[in-house]
Amino acid sequence: MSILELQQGEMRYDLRGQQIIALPQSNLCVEKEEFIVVRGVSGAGKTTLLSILGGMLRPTQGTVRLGDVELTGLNQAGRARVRQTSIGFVFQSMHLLPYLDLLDNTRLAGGTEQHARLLLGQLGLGSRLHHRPAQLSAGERQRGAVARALVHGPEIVLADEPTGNLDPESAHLVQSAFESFCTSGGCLVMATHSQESLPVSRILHLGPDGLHPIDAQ
Amino acid sequence: MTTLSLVWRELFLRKWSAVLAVSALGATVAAALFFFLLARSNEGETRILQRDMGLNLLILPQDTSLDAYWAKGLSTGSMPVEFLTKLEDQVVANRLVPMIKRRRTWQGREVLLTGISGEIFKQGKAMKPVFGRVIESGTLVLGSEIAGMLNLEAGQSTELLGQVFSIAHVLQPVGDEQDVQVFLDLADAQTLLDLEGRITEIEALECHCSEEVSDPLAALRAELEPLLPGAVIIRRDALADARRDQRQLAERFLQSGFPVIALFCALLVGVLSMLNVRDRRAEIGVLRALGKSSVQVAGLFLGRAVFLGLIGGALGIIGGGFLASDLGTMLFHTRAGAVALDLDLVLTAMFITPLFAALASLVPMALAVAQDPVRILGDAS
Repeated sequence: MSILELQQGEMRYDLRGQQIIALPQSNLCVEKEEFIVVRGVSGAGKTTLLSILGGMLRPTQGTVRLGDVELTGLNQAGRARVRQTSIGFVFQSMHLLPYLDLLDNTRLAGGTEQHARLLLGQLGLGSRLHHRPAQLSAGERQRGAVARALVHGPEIVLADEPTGNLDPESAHLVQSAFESFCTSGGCLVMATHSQESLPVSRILHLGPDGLHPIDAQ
Repeated sequence: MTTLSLVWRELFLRKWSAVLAVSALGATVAAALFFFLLARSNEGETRILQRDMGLNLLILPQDTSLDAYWAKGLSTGSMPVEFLTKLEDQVVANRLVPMIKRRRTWQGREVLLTGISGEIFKQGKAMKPVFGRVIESGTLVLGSEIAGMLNLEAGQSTELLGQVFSIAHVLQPVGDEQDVQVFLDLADAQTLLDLEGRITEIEALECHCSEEVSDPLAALRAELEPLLPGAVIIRRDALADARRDQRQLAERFLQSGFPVIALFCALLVGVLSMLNVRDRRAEIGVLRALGKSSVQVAGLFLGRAVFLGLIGGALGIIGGGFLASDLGTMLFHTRAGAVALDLDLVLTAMFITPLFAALASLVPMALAVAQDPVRILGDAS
């Protein structure tokens, strides 16, 4: 049984009378321990897809189901409750709170302090626990955002360009953290426009006609 | 992590922003309080000035002939002193001054002897002494002119109608009949003039307070005549009308001017709070994306607004009180006591300021929380 399922999901909006398709009609099933990469050009709808999968945006059409719960049938508060327990999200712009240090930013999503310290250490941030975002590089902030997405032990992590600001060494740390998360029972959908070869379960391409498999390694 | 902890950390990081917000809140509250205290003191000072203008209501004994009264300045009749107690429960005649007036020749001069109660009565209760002091039994208070004519000074003893009195005080010249009056204790005058238990007139302040009365004299008579059968009631119209108009002007100033200032200050507080929420929309989006409930997010913003509102309110109270007592007394020559803060005002300001700040934050925050997190983040970035 799939953990996360998108059925005929589509997102359209009206811009000054013109219909814009933010996400073409797409279907996706994410199984346990799967690591899925979604590729596509800028503007293809990768961020919109992740937002819909995470219950942060209601599609104009289609349904999203997380386990037994139909996210699209829940109201704002209901979807927030699901996100708090079951979904981790890595934003493209990180969105760390500027007045909290890295440890507290990570713990904002929940989980224990011990787990947060462990994750930050695995991501090479053990010496930066008490630095605020303004005192960190973009790459460090990005890794902090990854730690925050993983800290509360979600069922699924949705990561939007999580390695975009990272040097190869840091990208490898993030990659390892994601693999570890998937092998321990989680699943992950990562959006990227990078063409780099990744050890993942599936690679999908998001184009004007929806999601299609490209390759699998 | 608790909401309080998040509020504190945000304030600590953006301390200058918090200082500015508190300063703006404090200045706003101070301005509102300054205006309110001055308007209220203006009202109070107006009342005092009007009181000093003199009493505008005369109650004279039955059968007083008004032509004789105005010619001689006194009534030849008398009425029982118990009339005062009959006025205990009414409100239209205030600050009652019972007195006896008789003209007598003293040391070759015709003087107006005025036996006066040492105190003004208000609804039967002792109030303020006439001339700022009680006229003790066995003493006289002299008008300046008569004291000068008779070469009498405070501290001297003198004989009046066969009885020895000491001169307690010589009044400053005021340019009216008082300058030739001889004041003595009401009970002494009753004995001296064989008018035991009697008085010849009651002066009072008419008080219709804030209500509009089309025919004030008729209203006075309707209220007082049943209590004092046969008494003659006279209203000094020009004085009374001037008092009423000035009092109403002061009241209107307070009642209409202050709400405008208060509304302006409330809007300013509101705009500041709204701007803060708008600046932090991304934060709302992140917290919602992380699954924080709307109550938790609201607590973060409302907690900040309430905290800053409390500090701003306290500073505003101190600042407004200081401005009013220092600048207000200097500019408007009011007494410091007239612009003093009272507990009700302090509590009101301390309650309203954080409330306004919180309410102003509530609207943009509620709008943001109701949106999908992605839309907030998209709008904010």
